Amino acid sequence: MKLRVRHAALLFLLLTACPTPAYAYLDPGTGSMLLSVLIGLLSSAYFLMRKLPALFRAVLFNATGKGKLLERKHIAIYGETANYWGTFRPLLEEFGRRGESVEYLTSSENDPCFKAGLPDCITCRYIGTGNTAYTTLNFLEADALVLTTPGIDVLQIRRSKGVKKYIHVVHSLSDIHSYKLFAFDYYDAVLCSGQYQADSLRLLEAQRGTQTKELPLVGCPYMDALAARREREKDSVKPEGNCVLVAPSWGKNGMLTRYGAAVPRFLAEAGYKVILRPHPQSFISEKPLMEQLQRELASFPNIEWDRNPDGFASLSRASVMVSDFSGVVFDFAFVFLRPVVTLSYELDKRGFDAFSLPHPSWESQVVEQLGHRLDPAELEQLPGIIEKLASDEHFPERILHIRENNVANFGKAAVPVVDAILNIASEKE
Amino acid sequence: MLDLIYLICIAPLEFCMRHILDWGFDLTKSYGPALIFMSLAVNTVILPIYNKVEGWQEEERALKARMAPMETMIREVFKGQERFAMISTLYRQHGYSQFMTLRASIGVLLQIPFFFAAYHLLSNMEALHGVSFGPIRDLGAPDELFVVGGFSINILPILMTVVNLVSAFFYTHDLSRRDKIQLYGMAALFLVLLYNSPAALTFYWTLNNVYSLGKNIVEKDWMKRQGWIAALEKLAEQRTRLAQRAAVLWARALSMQVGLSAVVAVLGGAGLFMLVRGLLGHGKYSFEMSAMIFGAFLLFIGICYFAEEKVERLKKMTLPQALAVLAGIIGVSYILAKYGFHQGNEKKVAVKMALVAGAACLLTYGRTLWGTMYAKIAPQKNTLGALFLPSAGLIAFLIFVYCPFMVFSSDPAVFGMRLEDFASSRFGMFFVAMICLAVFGGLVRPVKWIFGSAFSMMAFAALAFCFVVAPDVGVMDAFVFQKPEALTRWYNTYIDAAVAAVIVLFFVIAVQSNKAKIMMNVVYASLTVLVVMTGVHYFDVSEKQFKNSYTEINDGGMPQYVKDFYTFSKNGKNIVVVMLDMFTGGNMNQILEQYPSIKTDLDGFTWYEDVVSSGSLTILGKPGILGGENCHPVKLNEDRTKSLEEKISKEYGMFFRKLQHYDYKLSIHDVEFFEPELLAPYLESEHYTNFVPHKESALWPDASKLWAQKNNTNLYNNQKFDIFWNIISLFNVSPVTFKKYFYCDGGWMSSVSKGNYDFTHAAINLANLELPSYISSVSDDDKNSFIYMFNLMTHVPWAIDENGMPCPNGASFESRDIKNHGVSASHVRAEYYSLKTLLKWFEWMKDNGVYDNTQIILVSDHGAHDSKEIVKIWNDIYPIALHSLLLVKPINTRGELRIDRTTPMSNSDVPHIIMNEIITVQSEKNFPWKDTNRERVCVSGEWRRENHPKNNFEFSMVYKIRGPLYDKNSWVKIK
Repeated sequence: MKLRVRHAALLFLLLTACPTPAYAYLDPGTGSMLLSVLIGLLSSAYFLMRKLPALFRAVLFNATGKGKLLERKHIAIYGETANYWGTFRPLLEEFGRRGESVEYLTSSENDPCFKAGLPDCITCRYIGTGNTAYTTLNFLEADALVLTTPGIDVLQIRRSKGVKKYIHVVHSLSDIHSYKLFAFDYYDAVLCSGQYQADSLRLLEAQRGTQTKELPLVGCPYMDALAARREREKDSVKPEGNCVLVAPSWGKNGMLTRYGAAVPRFLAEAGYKVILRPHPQSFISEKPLMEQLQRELASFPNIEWDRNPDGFASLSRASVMVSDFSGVVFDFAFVFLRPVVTLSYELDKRGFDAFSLPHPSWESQVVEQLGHRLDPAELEQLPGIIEKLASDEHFPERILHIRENNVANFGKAAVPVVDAILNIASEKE
Repeated sequence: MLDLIYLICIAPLEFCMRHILDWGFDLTKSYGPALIFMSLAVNTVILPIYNKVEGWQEEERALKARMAPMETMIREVFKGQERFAMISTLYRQHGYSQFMTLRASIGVLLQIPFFFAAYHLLSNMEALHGVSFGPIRDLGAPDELFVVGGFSINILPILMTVVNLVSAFFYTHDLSRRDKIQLYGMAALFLVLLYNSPAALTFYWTLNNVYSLGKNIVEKDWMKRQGWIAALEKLAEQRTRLAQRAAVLWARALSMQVGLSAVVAVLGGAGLFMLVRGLLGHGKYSFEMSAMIFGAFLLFIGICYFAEEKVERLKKMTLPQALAVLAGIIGVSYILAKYGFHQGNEKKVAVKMALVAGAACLLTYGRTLWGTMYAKIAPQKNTLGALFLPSAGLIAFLIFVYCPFMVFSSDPAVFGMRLEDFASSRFGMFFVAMICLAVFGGLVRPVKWIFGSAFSMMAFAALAFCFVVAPDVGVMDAFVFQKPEALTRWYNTYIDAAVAAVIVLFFVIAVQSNKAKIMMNVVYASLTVLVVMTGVHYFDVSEKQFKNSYTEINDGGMPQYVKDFYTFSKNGKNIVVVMLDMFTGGNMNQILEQYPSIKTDLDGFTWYEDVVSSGSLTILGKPGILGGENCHPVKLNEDRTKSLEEKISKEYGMFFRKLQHYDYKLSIHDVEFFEPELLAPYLESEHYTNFVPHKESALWPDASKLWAQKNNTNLYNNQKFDIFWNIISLFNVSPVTFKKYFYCDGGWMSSVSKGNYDFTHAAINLANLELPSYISSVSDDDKNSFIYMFNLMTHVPWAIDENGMPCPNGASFESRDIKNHGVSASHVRAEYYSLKTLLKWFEWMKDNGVYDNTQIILVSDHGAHDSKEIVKIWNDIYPIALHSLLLVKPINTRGELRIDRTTPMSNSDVPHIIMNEIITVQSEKNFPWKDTNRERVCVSGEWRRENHPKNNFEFSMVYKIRGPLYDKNSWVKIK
């Protein structure tokens, strides 16, 4: 507004900057002629100014050959990395089946989308990484933008004036606690997989006075994709007898950060075949720690490091998983129906939405039922627990029951998710 | 730049403080108590502001405290850009902005302008020098109350600091360390700054600190102990509840009185009626009735449109029901029109009808209508409330700054003010208004949306009235419009109604479509444009003033006809006739008595004392001066087949023709009856003429500007325009119908005094009388020259002071009383200075060798009722102002003024006197004054030409003088 007014005033100024001399007579201070001109000018200037940002953007985008990006879309999807292909693939396929035209924007140059053979109504476009991508997103014109990136309008991705609805699709079953501060505050909708997510979000809304979001309970397409793959590759999915997958999270609350090599070494010493699969981010953010661990564990031949971006193989081979609060726990438990031992310790909530949430997270309550919750002080009991869990024949049955109660539309989330997106996109502001 | 800051921020404060101090001095007759009074007054006035700021500080502190845990956590966990983003989001969610910190520190900043104002006022105040108060010897110097071994110490600044520190020490527990250091720092700074200041200033500042300490004690100690704080909070709560209740009441009242319906009603009824009236000429009763019924229907439907449930009811209406309603409306309208209002005029009937219909509809549907409106208003209350300050500010800016700037900039010279002074007074008013509005806005917070709505509509109305539908009143000359009739057009009311309707409609539509924000945009856009325009005018004026001082002084754009007017012949003869309007012949005696030197100055002149004018008013007494006895009103009335103008032009023409015959170039400036087109047939076209038939009363009105510059004065410098600015602004922003009440026929609600007109009048005439003494020229050709001019300096209001300069209040300061033995001091003075001014010209003639070949005649068209000798014979008031001036200097005559007290002259003898100088004739006819039984007739009547018939004058009185003027027996009343 400020800008517009200033421009209007400037235009007006140019037109009236040459006042006429008025010798002995006084102008009573009205001059309706002048003001008719003013009103005309003001209104046209006002509308011109309103259009100016869009005009400027168009010039900029056409100059950089990205003119197409400016066309208004009904639905756009943004994949920050190729890792989210699992989440978006079921959705794109469902959109394709319905013939809905969708623009898929990615920051990964070799995103699988380009080779996925999607129908014509789905357009895939690489928009660069970092600031290049954010600029595009900040000027986007769409009825709805679907993405997995948290922190909209807090971190680099600002809300574009041209996008009516920002929709988050969950890509893990985790509760809101484990997300970075203010992760969802400026979304218009979060497509949840469990009621616990919606409950936590409502609590935050009330506490922070942010806008009320739409929180439909539709499921987790990422889990569906994983389950589908397991189904496809079920012949090769066979657990190896005493193979234990150690898959911790990263960061200050990660098991490896807290307890170093203790867990894998203990398991190796106990004679298990150990697959150690640190979070891929660990090799970027915690390099010295990784190097130190590699040195410490070099002497154990039964410890196998897994650095493959795709963890499917490791998940398939292990019969039991040892982890911390990582979301991978649910991949293992709900998709492969195998038990998980979770190291339980006090988490540092600072920097996470957990800081603002008074109640314990859903996962902290449910892990007990997915296997065993273990106090790190009682590490020596681990072999016994693993033994017991591996031999429990009723375990898959119980897991299925838990999954049924906590995850909406498992295995068939794509349809309700797409329904929800189309619904939200066609709503008026 | 600093100057400008001072003018805008500090000068208005200083102005107010000075007035308070003067007021205090008037009350107590001493500056000590006056300073205490000023301190009390100033601090009490700004107390609410301080309280508000303290409220802000507390608000900010509380908010900070609420955010503290999160903020600390974010600072611990995040770094760099991410930390910034997180903290920004935290602030955003808590509605905290950096502006709040700034706002909270206003408390400290606020002291600065007050400090500078006090500093500027008290450290430079002459009146304080040598004034003692208690132990202080001299308020105008440092106190030096304590002397140690010849070294004096100023106690007041130290006392001031001590009080300040006590206050800071005991009452700032809840402040942060930084804030405390700031306070102590300020105390130290004041000590250093003020240590050597005059005692008045340090005393004043000590009082301020005592006040602040007292305030702290009362607020933070005593009130807390007495449980006052709790009580006050309870009171505030009750106030809020009460305000809310009042708001509901207000809203109901609003729906009853000034809602949309009233406007629709007025428009529907009266507007339609006027349309029909306009289309059909003067439509009689039936048309009015139908127009009213249509109006009522429009209203009915309009209201139904907004009250949806009523529409449903309307749809369900059966045909007989609808017909019954229609019949009812017609019947009621008929009865009301016939028995209720038929005595009023048609317009009034229409308006009343419409109002009744509107009121009826409102009574029925008002609540539903209001309910519909209020449902939309409720969620937008904040936006509407936020409209209050900008809208009220827009109005204040229009009134206090923009409109005055427009008027001022059109000709700054008129107002005799420096642009900076003007600007500071205007901006000062504006800022004071803004502070008041802001405080008001804070007080009415619960119902602020009502004020926001009302003020936004008022702001739009003000803009519309000022710019869109402003009537064309022409330019202003001496504060009088050229076309004031635009203020009383019959359709002005309808324009007002239309503007009101459009604005209310705009408001309703904006609110109904949930877009109250649009109004905010409009307000801000308009405000910006006005500010920019003001800026343009500011620079325009400063440019103009700059130019003025360089170019205009030389000739001020003097027109060619003025430059050519006073051209004398070197070798031939010159005749100069100066008609001095209302110069009383008898007053020459007073002039000679009071200013004896004039006797020698009037070198070669003869004063004829016994002179009767042919009329007591200009249009009756003047024609004879150039037209001779044939132009005497009585003579003119004889032939009633021709218009007065034709008859007079004929006589003038014959006289001018004679002059042309003797090779005279004619320069003539006159007003009534001087019509060159009518004269033309009598003249020889090959002769040079310089005819100035001005409708204005002076040869060159702008001569006064040149005169003002030469005399380093200003035409309006004796007038204060402070109130005028506000009145003309109100004039501009008010509805068209009301404008005339502000205009008051040029009186501007008495904000421009009549005295100002007097001053201008005197200045213009004085300037024009002085003009020939420095612009006359001498021509070498052999042509003779005839110059006729007139001047109104001797006419009322006689606004000439003792020094011969124009004065603002004319003769009203002293007696204009003709009962004062027939002597009016101001008239005599004006007459004397007119002669004195002409003497400068005569000096010029002498210097340029054209005095001796010039015949000079000073004559008046009539006198005033103040001729001493005549008043004496008539016992105070005599009936007809007939005593004219006649001073004649023949060619080649010098010597002291001769006085002829007996020759019976008339002012219509002038053509004879002239012709006798040009040619030597012996006919008796050319010397009518030689007849000792001469009868001289003087007539009286209306002073304006249009009040006389076309072909003759109408006399209210006719007197015949047979014999000496000073003998009452000579006076014979004919009518």
